[in-house]
Amino acid sequence: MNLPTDLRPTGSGALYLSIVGRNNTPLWSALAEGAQRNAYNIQMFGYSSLDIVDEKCIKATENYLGQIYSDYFFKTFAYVSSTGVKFVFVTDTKSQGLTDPEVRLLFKRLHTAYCQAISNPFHQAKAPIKSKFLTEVADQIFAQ
Amino acid sequence: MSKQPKPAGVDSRKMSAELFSLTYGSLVAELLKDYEDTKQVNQQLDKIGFNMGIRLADDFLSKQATVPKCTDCRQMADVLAKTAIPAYLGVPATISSWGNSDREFSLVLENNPLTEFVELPPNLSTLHYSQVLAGAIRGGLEAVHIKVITTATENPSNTEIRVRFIEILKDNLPAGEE
Repeated sequence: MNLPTDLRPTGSGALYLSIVGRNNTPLWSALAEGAQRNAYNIQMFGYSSLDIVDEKCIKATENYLGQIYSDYFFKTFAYVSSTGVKFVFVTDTKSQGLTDPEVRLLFKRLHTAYCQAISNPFHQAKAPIKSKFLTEVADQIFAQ
Repeated sequence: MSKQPKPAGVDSRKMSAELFSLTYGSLVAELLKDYEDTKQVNQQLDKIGFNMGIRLADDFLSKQATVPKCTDCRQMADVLAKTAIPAYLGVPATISSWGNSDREFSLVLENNPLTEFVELPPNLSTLHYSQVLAGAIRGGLEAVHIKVITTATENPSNTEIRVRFIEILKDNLPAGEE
């Protein structure tokens, strides 16, 4: 697998965000524009880290789970809400990356946007979410 | 129900705006489940708003002693947009799109608290989500013997309530109070 050459080395390297429900149903995901070519690999990487997230959940003392997994190209961070909703964030290893407080802040914003999205009276529980709040937050994160 | 002392500094008649938006949202969702027809739901929301409006009229006029007796639509629009709507919704409204020789106008709400988290799915594009506001305006005006027809429409960035003046009612009792 070749790393796409269009990933900026100075950017934050944010590639992929996803929200997964309590019983591992995918609720929402967003892919950065530069990452479209590697979409499949990135998504597989994100989902494969869910097993580790489940393990970490049992011993976790706080919502932010930190870095879950990394290989040569990608690394993932995860955050779990108190209701069991998992947020996964995939970045690439070549870029400058985000510091720990920045990632925590990112997950906080994502969590707030998620709450706004499910407050939509027309949202069905456990159905995939389509919300302007989430789209907006994702755009802001990928633009950094 | 025993009276509990309220914590100092909390105005017991105010409520969280989010609670208000969520309550209204679940009301609309339930109505849709019951009637399954957006036209009927619009009518029901209008009726609910109308009943609220005829009561709010007295509440409003008793609190705002400086409101003059309206003699034309412009005055009416002014009072609604600058005094009535901010008093009950907490947000200002602007007046626009005068039509039909000054007998029709639009009230535009930029930050409608009812629609704070709402995204209407495409199959419900004929639903007038804020029709309760339109009904309340219709009810309030009918309590002061002015008959209007009101419709609430959701635009991507704001809510627009179109008010059309019909006539001054000659009867002393508003239609809903017979």
